[in-house]
Amino acid sequence: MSFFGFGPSAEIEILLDGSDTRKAAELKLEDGRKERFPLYYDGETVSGKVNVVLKKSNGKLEHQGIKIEFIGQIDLYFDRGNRHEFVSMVRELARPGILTQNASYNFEFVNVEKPYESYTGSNVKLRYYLRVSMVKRLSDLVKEQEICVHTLAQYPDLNSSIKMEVGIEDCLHIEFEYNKSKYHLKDVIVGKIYFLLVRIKIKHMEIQVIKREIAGSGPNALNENETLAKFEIMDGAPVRGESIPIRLFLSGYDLTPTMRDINKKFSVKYYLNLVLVDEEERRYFKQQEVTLFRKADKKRRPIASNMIERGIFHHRTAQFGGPQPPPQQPQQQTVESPELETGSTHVSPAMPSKPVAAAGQSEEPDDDEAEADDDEEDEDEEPEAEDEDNDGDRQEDRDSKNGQL
Amino acid sequence: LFWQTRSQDMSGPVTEDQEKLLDEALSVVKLQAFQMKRCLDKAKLMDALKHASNMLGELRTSLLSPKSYYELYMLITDEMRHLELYLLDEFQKGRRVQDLYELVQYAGNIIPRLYLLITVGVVYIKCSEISRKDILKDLVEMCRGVQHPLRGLFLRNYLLQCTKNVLPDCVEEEQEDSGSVSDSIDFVLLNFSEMNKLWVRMQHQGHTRERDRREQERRELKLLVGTNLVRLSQLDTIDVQRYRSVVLPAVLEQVVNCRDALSQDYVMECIIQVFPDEYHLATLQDFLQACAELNPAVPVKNILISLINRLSAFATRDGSNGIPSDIPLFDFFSEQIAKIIENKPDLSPEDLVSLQAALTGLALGVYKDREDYVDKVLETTNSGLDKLGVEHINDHSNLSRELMKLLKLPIDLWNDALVLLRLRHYSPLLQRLDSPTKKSVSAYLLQNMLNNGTLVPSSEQVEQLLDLVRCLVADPGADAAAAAADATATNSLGGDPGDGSANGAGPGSEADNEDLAEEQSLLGRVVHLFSTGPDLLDEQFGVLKTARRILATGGGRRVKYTLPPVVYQAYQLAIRCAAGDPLPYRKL
Repeated sequence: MSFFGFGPSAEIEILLDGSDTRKAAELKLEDGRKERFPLYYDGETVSGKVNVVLKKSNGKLEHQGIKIEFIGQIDLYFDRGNRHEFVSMVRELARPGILTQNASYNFEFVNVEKPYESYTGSNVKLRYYLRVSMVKRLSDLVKEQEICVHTLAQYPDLNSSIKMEVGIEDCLHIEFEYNKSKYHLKDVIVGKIYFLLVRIKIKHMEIQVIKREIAGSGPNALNENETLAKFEIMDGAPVRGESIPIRLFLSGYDLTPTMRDINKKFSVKYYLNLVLVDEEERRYFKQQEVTLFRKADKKRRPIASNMIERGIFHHRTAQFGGPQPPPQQPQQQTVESPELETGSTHVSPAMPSKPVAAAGQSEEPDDDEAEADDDEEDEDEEPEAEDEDNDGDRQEDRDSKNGQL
Repeated sequence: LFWQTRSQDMSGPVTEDQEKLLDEALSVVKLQAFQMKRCLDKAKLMDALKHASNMLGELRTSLLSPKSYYELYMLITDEMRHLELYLLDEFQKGRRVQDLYELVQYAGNIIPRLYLLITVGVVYIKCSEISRKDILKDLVEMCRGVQHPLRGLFLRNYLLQCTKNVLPDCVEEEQEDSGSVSDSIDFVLLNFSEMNKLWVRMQHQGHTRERDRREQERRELKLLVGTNLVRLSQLDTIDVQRYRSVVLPAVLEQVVNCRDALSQDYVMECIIQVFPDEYHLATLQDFLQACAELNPAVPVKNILISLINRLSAFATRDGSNGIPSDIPLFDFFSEQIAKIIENKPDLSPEDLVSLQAALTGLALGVYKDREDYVDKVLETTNSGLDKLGVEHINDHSNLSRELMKLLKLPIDLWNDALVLLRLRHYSPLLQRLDSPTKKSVSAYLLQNMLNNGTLVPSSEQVEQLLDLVRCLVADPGADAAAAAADATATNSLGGDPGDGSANGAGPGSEADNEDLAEEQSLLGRVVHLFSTGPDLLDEQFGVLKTARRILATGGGRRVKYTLPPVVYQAYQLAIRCAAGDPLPYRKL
């Protein structure tokens, strides 16, 4: 740009309409910093003004055209050469010509589609931005303006609780229950752990929220697990018959909605990992996928009803979850794990192919947020595999020496 | 390195390092508390909460003994008061922090989280933010997350202390969801049973060789559990009906089912001490039934004795209405004690006697005119001792002491020796004692007669009395020994190994002679109480004849004290006769 001491000949400014009233949301930049950008939703018009400010007064600026693009793209970090643009729209702002003074151009991308949510991850990034390009002989003048996109979902019609009995023969049997299988980002996980058999000396129990990002597909897919939360739910050793309450507020953590096979490029999934640690530091765990979604913000409600509605008062949520699922949803399965210390991977037999449209299993018309839940097994009493979505039977990183319940 | 990790090592605390560990913890607390208060001064609540959380984190330790942990807990909870007061102030000024109840639950570690939750919850209650009922229920339920006995006990104690003044104490809910006394009862009972569970769990932690230390530690913590019962007793709206139908059954169920001797012993005792006597009277059967179901290692007799004594005191207190006549108190306890004796073949004689003593006290206190009750108890005691094969009662033994206590009770509480003479089983019991103790009790009786001026108005009764105190009247064994001692200067004599050998006072010695003189003058003075009615001169003569006959058996060493009063009385009689009675009199 600065050949022969020539600095940039002009400065391009992108101003978005309604930026004073529009909400902004935080996006993580690649270097880890966070910055706020205007927040847009699917179908919203993106409009504004492009200002070209000439640097040199009395200067002349010759160009071969000015255009603005609205781009939604996915970058896979290991595949930098390739950018996958899933949305690409362009508007011509100015025909080739000469600028003798500052210029301003309006632009409007009407009801532009923004099918996915902005996401900055470990190996993949999805972003939306406006790019103004002024084509010139030697090199183009480019200015980008990032925007943030959130995808909203409705509260699912069917949101069954997750209830399961798991254990290790003669050592430990527990029944755990989470009130829902789908949680919004400011939701509360309400549940309990009931101890049916305790023959080990437990030191404490925690729930972890684990994010798994699967970037790419096939044999080159990169899985990245991140433990976003470690929440202690029990201190000390329980005895048979104890019931330990769970109340985990998701708003305390940096979460995104579940993203499934976004543009066939990546997925972001979330798991609740229930971990019990015994006095010899052996860990017993049970991982369970949950679906996270983003709900539209509601206006503030009075504290009391808000707390009750959010299930903050455990005892009031007499019946977990929404309407009960159809009876064929099996909720109880005993999982026998192999030797716990050796950390042998729980080898799952070939999972029975999921009955796709089996009665009642698919819940929502929207594909993004929910498909037939991985959590709901069918009645065949197959031992439950740890990894339900068949994207590699991958064991917990650090817990690889540990036992799965 | 070992102490710096936050790992929750379950190995027990090493005593030498307790002081050091505690000091380290206390200094962290002081530092964090200081920071917390500074943040509060600057109205930086979130930062203050962070410091509070750090401070509370010290309570996650497994390395401190209960005593040290208690000290740490006291300091921390003191500091938490500052936070509570700050929040109360803010809330009352209308500056409430949104969702504070939720915010404190973001804390990743459960101990700081729950302590903060309790603190905030109580603020919410005090500021009528939300349903008091819901918060109380929530708090007591969420505490389940701490299953570690020591930490759980203190956490729940914190809950109890913080909610002390906010438990609903009314029959009906005053506003929607503000709760009634039923909710308070549920709250406290749940907290109590969870705490008792944790407390009992401590018994089984760790090595069998450390059992004694563990039991000692458990005893140090008993008050934490008992406070729940105290709290129940402080709810004014609980009346005897509610106590009987709701409170006591729940407590007894927990106590009996836990099957732990230490817990049972303490809690039963606690119930007696904490609740009013009227309640005990109304629930005697249930309580006694539970006593019968306790772990065999529990010293039920202590519990019973406590209860009996309390009820005796209640019945005899000034202004009390006494025991309602439809409660056959004596029978209840009599039966109960009989059951215990039956079910405990290893019951020691002194325990047996102390039980009977309590029962005697009850009879004498509450049913003063029922001599038959006392006689019954004495009879049971006698046969009980027979069954246990008790023959010789060593003078300095516990049994001797207990028996002496028992025998003195009727003396003290009736102040009328003549009643004693009517009891068929008093004398046999007295005679079981060894000589010195026997004499002591006999002398006690005589002294009592003198203090009360109890007259003995018939020859028959004189005979009975002197028979009762026969150990004072005559002691041929001692006389022979004294004679022998004079001759051979030996010290020992039948049955009293410790008697007087300290000051060289064997029979015949100077000390022994002093004792004898004292006894006999006592006896002599009692002779002056042998007095029939004013006109019954013939009777009086009979009385004196009987007295002379019996006292003479005392032998030379005694009659020099005891006969002169008889003679003196005879003179008195003669004078009276001469004064007006026409009937001739026989010469002495």
